[in-house]
Amino acid sequence: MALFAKYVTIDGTGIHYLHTGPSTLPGVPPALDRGHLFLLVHAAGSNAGMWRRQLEGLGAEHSALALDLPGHGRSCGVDGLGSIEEYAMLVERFVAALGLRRCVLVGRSMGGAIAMVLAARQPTLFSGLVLACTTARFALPDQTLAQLHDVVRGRLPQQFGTEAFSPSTPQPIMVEAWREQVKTDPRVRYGDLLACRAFDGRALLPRLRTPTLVVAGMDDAVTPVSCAEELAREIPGARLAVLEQAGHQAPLEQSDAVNRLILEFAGSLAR
Amino acid sequence: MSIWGRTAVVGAFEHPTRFAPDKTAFQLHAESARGALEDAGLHVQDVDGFFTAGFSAMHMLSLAGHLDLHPTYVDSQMIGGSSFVSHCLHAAAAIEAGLCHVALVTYGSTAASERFAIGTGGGSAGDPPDQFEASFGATLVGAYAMVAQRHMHEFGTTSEQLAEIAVTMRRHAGLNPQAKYREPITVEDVLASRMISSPLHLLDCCVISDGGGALVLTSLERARDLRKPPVVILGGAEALRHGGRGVRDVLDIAASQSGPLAFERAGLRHDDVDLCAIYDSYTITVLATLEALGFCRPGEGGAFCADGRIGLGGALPVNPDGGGLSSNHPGMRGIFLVIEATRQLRRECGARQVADAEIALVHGTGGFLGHRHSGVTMLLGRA
Repeated sequence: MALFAKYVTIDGTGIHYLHTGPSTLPGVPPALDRGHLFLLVHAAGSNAGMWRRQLEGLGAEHSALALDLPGHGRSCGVDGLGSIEEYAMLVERFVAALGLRRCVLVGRSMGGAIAMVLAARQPTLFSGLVLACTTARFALPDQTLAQLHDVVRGRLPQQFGTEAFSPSTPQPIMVEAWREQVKTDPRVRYGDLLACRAFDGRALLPRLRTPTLVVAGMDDAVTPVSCAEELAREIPGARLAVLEQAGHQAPLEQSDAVNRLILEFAGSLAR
Repeated sequence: MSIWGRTAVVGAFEHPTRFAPDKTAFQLHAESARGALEDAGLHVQDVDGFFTAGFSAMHMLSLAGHLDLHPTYVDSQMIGGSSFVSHCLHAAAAIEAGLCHVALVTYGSTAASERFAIGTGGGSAGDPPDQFEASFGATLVGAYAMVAQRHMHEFGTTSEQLAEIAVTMRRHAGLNPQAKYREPITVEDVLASRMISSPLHLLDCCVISDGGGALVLTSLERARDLRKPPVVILGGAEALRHGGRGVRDVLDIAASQSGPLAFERAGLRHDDVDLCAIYDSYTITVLATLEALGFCRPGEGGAFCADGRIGLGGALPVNPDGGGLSSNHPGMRGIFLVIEATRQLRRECGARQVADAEIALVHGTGGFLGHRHSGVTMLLGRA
């Protein structure tokens, strides 16, 4: 499926996004009027390209778009934003700038945290919330941060880790993720991890009023299934789905299953 | 007839972006041109001299179309990163000769968002010497590294001394809100960063950014009626270095020819210079250039740079904007040297302002130092 790339300027920063459906002239937002609308928010140090399989799968009969947060992928700026709350505000302005209709907000990992904050702030903007491979409170080992800090300081070359994947995930899938990873400066990723570490969304969860689907990878070593269980327990009415042979990159590792879950969930929602 | 002291830089603009995947290089040229013309208080219709450099053949024709310029005098001299300093000297000559009246110099590049390998990419397979050398894996950073190796061998220069230069540039960048890298670093950080081409570590190398800049020049007479205080071209000279017919000393660099001639033409001495804008593609470039320009004797560059002398507050501040090492290097940095020197002499640099700056020296290096390269020196002063 052809995906189109566009820019929208938010607070002076060019924000890049991929979308389904026909393209439009520069400055004219895409129509995105088929079926449900899905807005996809990526993880720390990641970009919209990591949602390619969702854009294609969800976009077959519906509409979907995924943005690159500032400093990520093909968006402008050399730095990310300093906190999950600032990212949530940015996504809120992105929604307003494109005049998006009510949509299902989907976030993975840091993107999930952003989605929780935004859904709590603006419950009427979203018909549903999908929280994939995420948590209300990230437990990031000091060693992970120290290693990335060494990359940022030029002491180590960029690392291509396997810890975010299920042991059963084949290497070509990991390569796909790594090829997206290198599109963002490691120091942006480092800043993201600091923002994740400072995030505590536990108080938000009982206040969420948006229908929520929580998706977890059985083999997720970064945000283990217990994190997803907490989300499902604390968010009123939330559903939990745990996928086998999936790690912290479940939407990539088990893309068909994740797409099916999201479509099934969307089918249960009022538009 | 002398052309010196009669032409002024009246508009200077450095594009604030350091990463602009949403823009083309031409957009960066255009936005920079608009910025510099606004700075000068002139309109695009006033421009009759156009100066620019890019990598593709006849790049200037397309760019003139993009900017809708109708110049009567054009110059697309391309001698690497020093080209834009050279354009200023050529503009001075053209304006003084009456060939044009308002000269626009522009630059734009999306090296970072295109992931362009500036230093580690190989040489091109173009003209004969490149064809014969490229197959041996020559890289740009490799050429500069050989200059550093030779300097260490001849004079005992140390990696710590080179690192001091990177540390100083980063300290300056901390005062420049637009600099790409602003967090302070230490000598230890430089030495602990990974080796790119020995003895040059990652932090001995300039950053790769997207960016653009533009300058507007006109006669001093006309400059006095414009928006900003004129900054006058007091003297300048160009030089090329190459292998010629045989083996050549890699420490004999173009600045040793262009520097003395520029001083002579300007009627100035080293003591007169309040600040320098020196092309800092690598730490060694600064050290070797300062020596070749005659600010210190050959071999003394390490000690000269290492005790705070080239930092803000020192005797000879170099690159108060943070230079290519920390602020902005989209591939060819020459134009930013002139922009920073101009803004310093106008005393509009805020926290990084060199107090009472009257005279600035600009030196651009293009190509492979120690190998085929160009050097252009220009002295600027307040009117």
